[in-house]
Amino acid sequence: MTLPRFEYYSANNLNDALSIINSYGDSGKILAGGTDLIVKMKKGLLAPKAILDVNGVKELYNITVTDEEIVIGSLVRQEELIRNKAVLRSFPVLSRTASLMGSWQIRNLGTVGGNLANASPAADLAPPLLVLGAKAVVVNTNGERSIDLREFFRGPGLTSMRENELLKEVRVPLNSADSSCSSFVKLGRREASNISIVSAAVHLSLRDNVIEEAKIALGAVAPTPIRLEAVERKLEGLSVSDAAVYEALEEVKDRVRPITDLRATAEYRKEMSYVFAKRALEECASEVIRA
Amino acid sequence: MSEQIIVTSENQNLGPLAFDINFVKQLLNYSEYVIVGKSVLRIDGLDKVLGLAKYTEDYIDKALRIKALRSPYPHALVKIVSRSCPTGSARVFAADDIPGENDVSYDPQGAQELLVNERARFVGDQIALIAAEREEDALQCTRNLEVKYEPLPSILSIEDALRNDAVKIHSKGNIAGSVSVTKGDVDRAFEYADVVVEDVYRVGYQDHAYIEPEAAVAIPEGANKISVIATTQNPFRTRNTVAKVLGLKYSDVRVIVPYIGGGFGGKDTMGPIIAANVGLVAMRTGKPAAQVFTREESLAYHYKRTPFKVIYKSGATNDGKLVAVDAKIFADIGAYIAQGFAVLRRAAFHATGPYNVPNVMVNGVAVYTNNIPTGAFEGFGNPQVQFAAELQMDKLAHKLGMDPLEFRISNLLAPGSTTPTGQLLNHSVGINGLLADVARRSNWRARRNAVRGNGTKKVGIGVACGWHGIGSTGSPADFSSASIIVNIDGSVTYRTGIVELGQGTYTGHAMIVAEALGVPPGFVKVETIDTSTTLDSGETHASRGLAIGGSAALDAALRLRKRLMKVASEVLGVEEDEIVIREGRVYVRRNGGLSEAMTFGDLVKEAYLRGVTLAENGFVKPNVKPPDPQTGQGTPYFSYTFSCTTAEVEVDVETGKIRVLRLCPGVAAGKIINPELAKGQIYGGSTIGMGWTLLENLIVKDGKILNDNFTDYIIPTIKDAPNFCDPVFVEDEYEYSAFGAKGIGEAVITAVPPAIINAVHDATGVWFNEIPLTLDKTFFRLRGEGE
Repeated sequence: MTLPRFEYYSANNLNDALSIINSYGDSGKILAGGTDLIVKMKKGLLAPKAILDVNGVKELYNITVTDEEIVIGSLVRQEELIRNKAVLRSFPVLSRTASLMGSWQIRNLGTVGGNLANASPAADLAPPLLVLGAKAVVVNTNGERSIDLREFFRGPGLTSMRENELLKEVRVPLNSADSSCSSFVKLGRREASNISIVSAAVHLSLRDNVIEEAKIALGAVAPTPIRLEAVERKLEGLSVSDAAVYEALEEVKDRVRPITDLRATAEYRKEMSYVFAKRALEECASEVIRA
Repeated sequence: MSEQIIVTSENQNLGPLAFDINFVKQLLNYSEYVIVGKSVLRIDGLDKVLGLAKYTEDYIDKALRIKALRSPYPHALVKIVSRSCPTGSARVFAADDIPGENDVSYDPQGAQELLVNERARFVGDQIALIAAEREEDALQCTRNLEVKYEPLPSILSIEDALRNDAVKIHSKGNIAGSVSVTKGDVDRAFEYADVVVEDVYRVGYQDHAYIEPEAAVAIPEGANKISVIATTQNPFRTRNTVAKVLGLKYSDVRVIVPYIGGGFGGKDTMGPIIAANVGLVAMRTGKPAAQVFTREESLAYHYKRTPFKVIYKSGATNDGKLVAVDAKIFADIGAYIAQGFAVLRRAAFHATGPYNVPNVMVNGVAVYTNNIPTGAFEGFGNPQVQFAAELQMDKLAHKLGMDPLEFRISNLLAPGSTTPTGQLLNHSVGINGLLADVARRSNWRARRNAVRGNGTKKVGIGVACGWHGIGSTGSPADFSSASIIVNIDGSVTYRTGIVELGQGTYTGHAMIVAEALGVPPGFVKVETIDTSTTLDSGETHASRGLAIGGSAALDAALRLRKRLMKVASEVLGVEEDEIVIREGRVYVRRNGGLSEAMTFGDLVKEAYLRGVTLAENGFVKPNVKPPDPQTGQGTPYFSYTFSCTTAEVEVDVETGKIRVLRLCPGVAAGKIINPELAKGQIYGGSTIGMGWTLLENLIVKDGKILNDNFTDYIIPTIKDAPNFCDPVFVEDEYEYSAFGAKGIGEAVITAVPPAIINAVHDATGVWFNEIPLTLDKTFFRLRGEGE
């Protein structure tokens, strides 16, 4: 099927990209991996006046490590997350998450930035980045600003980015806790190439198997990927093997707002939000206990 | 002429297909096959790996591009108000542009317009074809053309279609056809049955999901003559349909079929339709015209596997013998007959499963609805009914307290058995040995008695069998032809109308020709199908390509072999029975050994110089007897392939997700011509069966297919494929086909869905009478809710 007509621009540096975005605003779309954009255009769901291809913007490809954080450029491909040494060392959960996304071909095109800026409720990178306390750095011709990822998603396809802003990078703070773990689990019909029916990420800081800090995020069960802070509070202070952990997690079902779509019913998603929050937590805890 | 080697013996209860296998072995004059039975590499493999093999779209160069304007309503009166497209270059073709008959029905018992004249009967019914130089202009016109719709009440379920006050979808009503099979006295038999089980089963749609969507291009060849290149499984039926629609003689329509990227039956149904589309536009414009379906069009509009509702009652005695089967089959064939009624008939004739059942009553109706039409898909109605039959077998065994595998063994068909249609199976019934081997290979007894898993993951093992008659059900016109030219250098040009869909037909036929002629397989070039130079081989469906199509190849090759032996005997001055031609060399048998006398090439050259033609045709026709419409008694197939498999599953009771861990499949498919290709059929067929059972849920709302893409219509990936045991082959040779081969393509899938569901029951104690399963349904059922 042919694409609707559009004006095509490509930028080779960030400044050029930003000035083009400035002149098109909402009537333009950013082409990074194109794994969502092109599909939507083919289906006639999107018909942007202009497309800005940012694949030539070298500044957006880097993964850098500082004392406090890892900075992941928005054009870093999902496949790169699987093998990048810095990511593997500090945040193996991101590598693990990426390995469960799409297919090899899709991951080689799809970008970290695209997965977030597209703002799908089912975006797989969102839950782990949410529990890791990541920030999105967005930029326009006036300069940069940083948005806590919890404030980034506004609804299906909606973010808090302004119309002339570009997602530049994601900053993930390095963890200082002695004993911590992170995990990501997802449910799809098959073993690969799935859009998540439910996804869950958990990050725990533990001392002597007692949860000092808990972070839980779920995907595909609300208009945006969500953190479950009320549940997190209840988990804190509990031993990971305490049955009360499961009681606290049951509350997940009351906190989600799933819909029925082609992939699953709302009732089923509600049940699975508990199951996958539980599995994420168990996987996380088992990692620490093993180590 | 003494060359006539076809034997057709009419006093056989089982009509033979072609020659007696013993005669073939005698003619070869050596004991062990040198090619047949070996895993010869695919002859199309190199071209396919290098990307050099050409498919239909590769032949489309400058051509008008066609988009179909389709009904958005499941049932509506339609009127095209204006024929002008908003963009000037696009042209609109409607029913009154058709020069011949506006009829593309696959089944003469029903009518189907290529372009609807007045009434659209499903979402996707073709109203007009729009052609433009640029596809986007044609597409634009399909959106903007002024068409008036008057929606009619639509029928979207079997139950609604059969109501007395139901709207009639076709003038004759909503029943496209009915079928009955009666044997013995079912009512009396149920009285003395010790256990009886009755349940209702539903099996859903499935899309073929072939890698190559539908495509065709037509090229005008002067006045009133046309060539069409198309993705079709039936070059000749496609030719006939194009000729009918365009009002041409068969000889003026040439259909060319290049390599096909998967068919599974879907291109049997769709081939003639898309070919007629491009033929019409090319004929009307005088320009080449092409249509290529997008994946979305293919998923939304091409005809699917037929959904069935089966009410199945069966009974057995305490000693584990089946006594009666009473099955009522309802098929939602969709808006047109297509192959829907044929699908139902095949299902009815196989409804008992491969078992001895003395008392049988099968009643089936093919019901019209305003849903997507349905047609051929691997198994052709048979997997739908075997699902019910094989769940019943497990339920009966359960009631009897018997091992389900032992229960099956005590009821299997065997040589001397009579089928429900009254057909005596006097040989080539290898299912007893097959099931025993499958049981051994899967370690059935140990696994069946193993612990069922702990916590949230339950494991189980199930078994099921199936059978599949070879050839087009009861068709008196199921003939096949083939032709061979031995070129003067000894190379061989072979033609068959059996289509290479990926199943390996070209390789299989080349091996048969090579063995019979006495050349290496590499000598045999299989030509692209062209209905003007290829002989009519019938359709590539019904698992007939090798058994029937390959027998035509053998027929032609044996005639040439006899001729060459005669020449060799003259040249070498020895008796014919002293000559052996094998792998490109001619030997003389002397003192118990073979001495090479000349090359095949030299012998061929000698034949030409002596005025002996080395071009030959083969022709075979199975002797079947169409079952009686009232009683179902007859011989619908000359022979049957049998299949059995075990399935081991893991059920995640917390999510409802089921994984197939291992399948141990096998077939009794006669002589296996090429074991590697046969394994390919088994792995592929099994995976399609698994996908249908667990993943492939077509979502239809108000007659419209909602998941028309591979994001939402979930087919298995390689990661989902189960582990396979090395498949079991029981080579129960059929005595009257090419080297004893039967078909393999479809039998495999018949056993897979019930084996999986029986395994799920073993794991969880819950029966699922409906497939495809979804995670939601499975989860809530396992929790004791729903159904």
